[in-house]
Amino acid sequence: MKHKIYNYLAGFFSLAIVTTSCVTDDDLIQVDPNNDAVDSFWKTDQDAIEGVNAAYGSLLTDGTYMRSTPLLLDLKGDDTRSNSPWDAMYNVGRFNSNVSNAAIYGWAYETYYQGIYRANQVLENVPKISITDSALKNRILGEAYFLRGLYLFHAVNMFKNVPVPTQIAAIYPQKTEAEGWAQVIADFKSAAEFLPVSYSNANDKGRATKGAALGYLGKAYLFTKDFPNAKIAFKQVIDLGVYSLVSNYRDNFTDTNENNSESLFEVQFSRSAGGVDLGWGGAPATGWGKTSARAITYGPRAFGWTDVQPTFTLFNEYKQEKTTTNQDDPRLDATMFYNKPGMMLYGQNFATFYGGNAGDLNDLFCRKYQNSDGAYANEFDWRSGINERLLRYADILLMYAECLNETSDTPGAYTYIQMVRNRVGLPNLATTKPGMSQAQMRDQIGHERFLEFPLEGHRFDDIRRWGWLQDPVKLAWLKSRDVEFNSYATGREFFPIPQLEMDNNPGTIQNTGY
Amino acid sequence: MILICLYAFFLIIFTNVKSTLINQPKNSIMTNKRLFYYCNFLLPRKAWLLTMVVMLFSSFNLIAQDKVIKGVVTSAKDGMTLPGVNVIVKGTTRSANADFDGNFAVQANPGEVLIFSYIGYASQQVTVGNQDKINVSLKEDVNKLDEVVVIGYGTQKKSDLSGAVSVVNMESAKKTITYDTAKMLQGQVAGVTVQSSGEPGGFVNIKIRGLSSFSNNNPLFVIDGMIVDAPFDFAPGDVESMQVLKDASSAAIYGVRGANGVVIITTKKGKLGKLDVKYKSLVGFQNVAKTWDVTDRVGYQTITSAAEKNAGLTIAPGNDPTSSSYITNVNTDWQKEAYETGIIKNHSLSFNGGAETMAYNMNLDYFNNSSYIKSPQDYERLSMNLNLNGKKGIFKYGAKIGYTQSDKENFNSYVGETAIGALVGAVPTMPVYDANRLGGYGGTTNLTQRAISLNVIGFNNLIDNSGKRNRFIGDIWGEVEIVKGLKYKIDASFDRLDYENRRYIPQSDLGWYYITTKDEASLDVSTGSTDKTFFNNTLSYSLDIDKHKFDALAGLVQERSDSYNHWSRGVGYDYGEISKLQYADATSTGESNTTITGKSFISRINYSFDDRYLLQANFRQDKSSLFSENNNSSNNYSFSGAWKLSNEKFIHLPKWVSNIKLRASYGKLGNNTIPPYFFATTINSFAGYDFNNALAPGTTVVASLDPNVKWEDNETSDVAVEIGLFENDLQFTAEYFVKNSTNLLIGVPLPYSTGAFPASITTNAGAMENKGFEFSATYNNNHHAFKYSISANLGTLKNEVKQIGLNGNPIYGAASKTEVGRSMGEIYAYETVGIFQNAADLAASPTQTNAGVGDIKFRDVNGDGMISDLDRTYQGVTIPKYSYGMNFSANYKNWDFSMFWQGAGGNKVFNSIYRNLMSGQYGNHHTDMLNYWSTTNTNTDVPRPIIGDPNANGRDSNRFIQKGDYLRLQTMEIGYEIPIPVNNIVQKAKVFVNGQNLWTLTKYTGADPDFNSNDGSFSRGYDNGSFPNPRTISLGVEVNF
Repeated sequence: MKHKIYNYLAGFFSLAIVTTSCVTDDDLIQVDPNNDAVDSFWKTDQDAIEGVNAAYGSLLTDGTYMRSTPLLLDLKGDDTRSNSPWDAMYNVGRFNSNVSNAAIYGWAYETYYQGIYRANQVLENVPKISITDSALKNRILGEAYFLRGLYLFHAVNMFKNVPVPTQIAAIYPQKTEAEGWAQVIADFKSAAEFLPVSYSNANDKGRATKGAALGYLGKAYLFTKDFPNAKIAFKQVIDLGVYSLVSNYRDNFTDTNENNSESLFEVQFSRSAGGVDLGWGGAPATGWGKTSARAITYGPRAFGWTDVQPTFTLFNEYKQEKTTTNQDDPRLDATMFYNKPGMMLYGQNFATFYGGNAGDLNDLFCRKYQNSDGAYANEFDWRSGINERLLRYADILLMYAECLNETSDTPGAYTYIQMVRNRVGLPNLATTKPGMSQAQMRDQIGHERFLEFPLEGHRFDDIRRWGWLQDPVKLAWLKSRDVEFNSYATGREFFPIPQLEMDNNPGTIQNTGY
Repeated sequence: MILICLYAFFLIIFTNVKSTLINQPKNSIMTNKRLFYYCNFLLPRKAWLLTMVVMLFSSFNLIAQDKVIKGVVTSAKDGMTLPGVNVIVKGTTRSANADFDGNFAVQANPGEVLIFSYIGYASQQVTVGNQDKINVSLKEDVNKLDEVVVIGYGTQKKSDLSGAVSVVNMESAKKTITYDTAKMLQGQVAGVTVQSSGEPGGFVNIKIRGLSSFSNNNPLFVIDGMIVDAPFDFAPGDVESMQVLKDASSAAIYGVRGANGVVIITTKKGKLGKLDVKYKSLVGFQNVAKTWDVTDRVGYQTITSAAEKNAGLTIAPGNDPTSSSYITNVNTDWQKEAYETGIIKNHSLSFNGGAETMAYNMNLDYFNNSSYIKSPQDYERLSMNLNLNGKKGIFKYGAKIGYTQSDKENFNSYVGETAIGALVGAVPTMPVYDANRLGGYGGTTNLTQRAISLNVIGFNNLIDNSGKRNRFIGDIWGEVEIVKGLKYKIDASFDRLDYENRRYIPQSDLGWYYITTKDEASLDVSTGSTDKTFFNNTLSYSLDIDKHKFDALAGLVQERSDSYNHWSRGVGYDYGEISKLQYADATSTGESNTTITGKSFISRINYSFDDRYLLQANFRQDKSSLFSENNNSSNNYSFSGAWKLSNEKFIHLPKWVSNIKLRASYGKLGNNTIPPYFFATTINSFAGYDFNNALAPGTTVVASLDPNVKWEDNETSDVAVEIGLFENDLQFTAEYFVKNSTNLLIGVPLPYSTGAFPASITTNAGAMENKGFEFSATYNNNHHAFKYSISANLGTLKNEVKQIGLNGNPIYGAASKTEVGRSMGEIYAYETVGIFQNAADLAASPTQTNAGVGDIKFRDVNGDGMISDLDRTYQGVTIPKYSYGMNFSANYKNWDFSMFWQGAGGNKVFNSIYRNLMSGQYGNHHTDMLNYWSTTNTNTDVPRPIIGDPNANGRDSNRFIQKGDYLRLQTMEIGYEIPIPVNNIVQKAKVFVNGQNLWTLTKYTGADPDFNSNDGSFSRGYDNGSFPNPRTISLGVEVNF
C-alpha cells in the first residue's frame, strides 16, 4: 500500500512538471468578447448607415440639445433671464461663465467635437466601403457633411476661435474664426450637393435634407455678413417649394406635429424610442432614452426647475401690436405662461395654482417646448419627447428678408416679413409702416425676429451678429431691457474656451475677455 | 452552516479520492497520466484541489510504528510537557510524535541517535543506551534574528535578508480594531502610508514608498502564498505575521505585480498538540471625532439674504422676515441629527492543534460595524479560514480553505458630491422629517428656500444600496524532497468571488430638485463572479558545503482570471411597490465577461559565505494577456548583497554590539495595472438616434486607445545598515532608497476637440522618481518584571515627476497640476491679496472681470494687468514628506499597556468642504462666513457673499489650502489578565479596553487629516468630504481554553 502510493505520487510530480499548464501561449492572447473590434466594422451598407446615425446621436446628449445648448443659446438674450441656483446656469446670461469651471458650456464644446469625430469617422470610412447604391452612399456622406457643418457651426458661433477637425488626427490646433466659418460653409455646400430634397421612407423622417443644408449654408453666409451668397442660398430653399408655414404657430413646439412642412431640421426626441434612462453623455449604453431635459429645466415653477424664464421685455413687446382682429399676438400665449384669466398649465389653472404667492402669480414662465397642454402633470420625470426645431421656414423667410434689406432691396423685404406676420394675423406691414429706410427695416426685422423666435436660441445670435454689443446706444438699450446685460464685458459674447482644451491643446489662446 | 458545507465538501472529495485510488491498477503511471490530463483539462476549476487533497489524505494511511523507547518531552523553561515534538531515529525513516502530554514512543536500538525537534526550540540529540525510557528537556530558541520570515515563494532567516523586508510587529498592529488587515499597517512600518475612511467597510489605501504610478499604487497582497488584490475579505484576527517587501530586490520574485511593494500575510498554522481554543470578543462604540462649525438658522438666513441682496435679487421668502413664508420654526443641526453612536462587534473563535502528519488551525470570525451616521449603512462579515499542514517523511503538504460572506449597506451620495459634503452643507431651514412629502423626509422648495439641498438622512434611509460578497478560497500544496536539499513544490489555488449589488431608489419627494418620480424610481441589480486560478510549480535546491550556503529556486507560475457580470435595471415603480425587477414598468439587462491570463517564469539564487557575505539574485519573466501580443512580455530582475560586519573576525566590536549588517540592492520590476483589452479599439453600437420616433441603431468609435500600450517599469536601488546592540535588545535600521519609475501608464487628458470619450488616452507617458530615508528602532527590555518595548519608525519621501503626458504637457487635477520637475499632484491655485475695499481700490487693481467691492482681490502673478488662469501658482506638495509611527508597550504582572501614535506631515490639503461652506451661496455656511465683508465690517478676510459669485471668490486659492500635518494617538490599550486557578477548562483569560483615534494634533480644519483621496490620482490633496475616521472605544475579552 505504502509503496504503491509513493509511486502514484512520484508519477504525479514528475508528470506535473512536463505536462501541467493552465495557461497556454494561446491563452495569452485575449480578445474583448463584449465589443466588436473596429477592424470588423465599416464593411457594409448597414455599417455606413449605423455610422452616420451615431453622428446624429451626438445631438441628443446633455452637451447638445438635451439641455446645455438651448440654455447657452437662450440665456444670453434679452428674451430670457435666469434665477437658477446653479451658478453655471445663472451666470450664462450674465456673461460670467467661470473659466475654471467648464460646467455646461464645456459640455457643449465637448459634445460638438464628439459629433464632429463621429461625422469624420463616416467621411473617412464610408468612401472605402463598396456600396453598390451610389445614391445611398452620397446621401450618407451628405448627412455626415451636414452634421459636421452643424456641430462646427455651433462651436465657431459660440466659442469663436476653435479647432477645425476635417480628418481624424491626434490633436487639432486652434484656428481662427474665419477659418472655422469657411469650413462650415464648405461642409454645408457639400451636404447640399449630396443630400436629397426629401426621403421616401417614413423611417428616414428627420434625416438631413438638401433644404436643411441650404438653409444652414445661407445662415452661415449671413453670420459672416456675406449677404449676396446668403440671399442665393435662402432663395434656393424657398424655390425648393417643399416648405410652408404651419397655420398654428404652436404646432412648432409640441410633440404632436413634428417634422411638419415648416421644419427644415429638427433634433428628434422621442419618449418611445430606446430605453428610459437619461442619456446624459459619455459612452452610450443600451438603456439610454432619446428624450430631452429641456422641458424640466425651463419648466414653470413647481412643474419644472424654472432655470429659464421669459423677460417682461418680451411680454411687453408682444403687447405692442394687436392682430387684425384686435387680439394679442397669439405667439405670446404660445411662448409663455402668465396670469391671464383662464390660462391653464399642466391641467391646472394658473391663477388658482399660483394664487398663494404674489411673486409667482405675477411672474412669467416658459411655455414653448413644454409638455404643458394637459397630457402630463409636470416635467419631473426629465423626459420630454418634443423635437427641438433648429431651423424653421419662418427663419428662412425672415433671414431672406434681411438679405434683401442688406442688399438694398428694402421694399422686397416687406413681402417675406409679411408672410410670417400673416400666419399670426398681424396687419400688413406695408400698410402700417410703409417706406421704411434700410436702417428702420433692420430694427423692424429685429423686432419681428424677437417675437417669432424667443426661446428658440436665435435672439442672442442676432444681437451678436448685428453688432449691438459694440454699439453703445444699442448696448444701453439692451441693458434697459434685460439687467443681465449690465455685466457684459467686451469679448464675452463668446464663451471661454474650456480649460481642458486650453490645458491640453498646446498653443490654444483664450478668448478675449476671460 | 459553513462548517456543514465544508464538511460536505471534504466528504465528497474524500469519497471521490478513495474510489479513484482504489480503482487504480497496480502499475498505474499511465492511469495517473490520464488522471493528470483530466486535471489539466479542468484546471480553471477546482480539480486541482481535488488532486491535491488526494495526496493529502492518502498520507494519513502511512503511519506505522513499533514500541520500544518511551519518554516524556518537556520545556526547559517551565517544565511543562511539550506535545507534538518530533522524534526521528537518525539515519532511518523511523519517527514518532509526542502525544498531547508529551509522551512519545519510538522503535530504536541501542547506539542509535534520537533527534528531538520542535518549532521555537533548539533541537536535541540523544544517543540510545540500554534504557527503554528517555526524558528530554528542550531549550527555547532565543535568537531573535533567527526568526524565519516568509518571502516570495519561500522563507528566509531574518538575519540572512539582503533586501528591504520589514516585519510587522503583529502584537502592536493587532491593537488596531478594523475590518481590514491593511489598516493595521498604519504607522507600523517605515515608508508605508495608509489612508483610510471611517465608512464601515470602506476601502483603505496603502502606499509603500510613495507614489510610483499614476494608475495604481496599492501594493500586492499575498496571503499564505495566494495573490489577492486587497486583504479586504479576510479577518485580521487570523493573521500570524505580516512582512512588507519594500525594495525591488525582495519584491522582484513577484515581477510585474511587485512594483508597488508586496505585503505578505501569513495566517495562523496548526501547531502540534492538544486542541487549543481561543475566543476573542469585543464590542466598540464609535463616534465622529470632529464636527464642522456651521451656521444655524439665523446665521444661515443672514448670510444667504446678504448674498441675494448683493446680487440684486429679492430675498428668498423663507429667509425674509417680512414674508409670510419666513421660516422660524425649523433649525436643523444636520450633523447633530445625523451622527449617532456606531457599534462594532467582533467575535473570533479559533481552534488549533493536530499531529505532525496533520495539524490544523481554524478561525471563525464575525465582524459587524454599524455606521455612526443615522442610516441603514453598516458592514457585516462572517469569515472562516482553515489551514491544514503536515509532513510525512519526504512529503510536506498543506491546504487552505477560506470562506467569507459580507454584506455592506453602502452610503449614497448624489452625483458630484459626497455624503459628508452634502450633510454639512445642508441648510438649517430644511426639516429632517416632513410627513407631507412622499417618503416622509423633509426637503426645500424653490418657492421658499430657493436652496438645492439634499436631505442626506432621508436620502440614505430611502435608498436601499447593498453589496453582498461571497468569497471562497482554496489552496492546496505539496512538497517533496526528491533528494536531500532538492524540493519540488506544487501549489494550486482557486479564488472565487461572487457578488451581488442592489440599489433601489424608490419614488420619493425630498424637496425641490430631489424628486424621484415613478418613472425615475429604479432598481439596479448587478451580479457576477471572478474566478482566479493560480498554479505554481517550483523547484528549489539548497546546499551547504562547509562555509558555503547555496539556495536556488526556479518555477513556473500561471494564473488565469475569469470575470463575469450580469446587470439588470428596472425603472418605474409605484410608491410602496415591491422592489423586484418583475414589478418594474420597463427593464433592461446586459452582461459582460473578461479573461486575463498570465504566465511567468521565476528564479532566485541565494549564496552566503561563512554567514558574512550574502548575495541574492532574482529573475522573473512575465507574460500577460493585458497587452497586445508584441508587447506582452516583461523581464524583471534584481540583485542584492549584504555584509555582516559583526561576524568578521578582523573587526573587533565592543561586546555590547551584537550585530551590524550592511546591505544594498538593485532591481527592476514592472506594473501592469490596466483594464483588460485596453490596447484594441472597439466600437460602441449603442450610439443610436431616433427617426420617426423609432430607434435607429448607431455605431461608432467612442474611446481612444493606444495599441502599443505596455508595462510600466520600475527600478529601485536601496542601501541600508542594520545594527543590533545589547544582545539585540536595541535594534536600529537606517535605509535609503531611490525608485525610478518609467513608461508609466497615464490616462493622458486629451483636448475636448479630439471628440473621444473619455477625453483621455491611456498610454506609457510618464516617469517619476521617489526617494527617501527610512529609520526604525526598537528597544526591548524583558529583563525585569516590568517589561517594556519602545519602537519608532520614520519614513521620508520625495517624489519628482520626470516625464509626463504627450509632449510634456502638464496634467491638471482638482486644484492641482502635475508637471515635470515637481511632485505629483501639487496644489495649483490663485493667491489672494485681500479684499477690494472700495471702488478706487477696484479701479487701481489689475482687471478682475465682474469683481465688486467686498470681493477677493487675487494676485496678478504674471503682471499682465489682468487676473487669468496664468496667475495660478504652485502652493504645496500633497504627498506627505514624512510619516511616522511610535509604539510603546509594557507589561507588569497581570497588566499590560500599549500606546501607539502615528502621523504624517509636510503636505498641504485643499479643503474643498471648507470652500463649499465659504462660498456664500444657497447652501449652508461655515461660521467663519459670519464675518463676511460689508461696508460696516471691512476688517476681515472673508469676502461678501453674493449669489452667482461673479468674481469667483470660491475659485481655487490659498484661502482653502491648509497644512495636512497631524499627530494622532491612534491606539491605546490596557489589558488585565485575570488570575485563574489551575483547571482543565480555562487556561487564560484577559480583558482589555481599547481606544482608537483618541486625540489628534493638527491645524487642519477639515474633519480628518487622514482622509482617503483617490489612489494615484492627480488630485491627491483634494479633500471633498471623505468619511472621517471615528473615535472608537472598545471593550474586549480573550479566553483560551
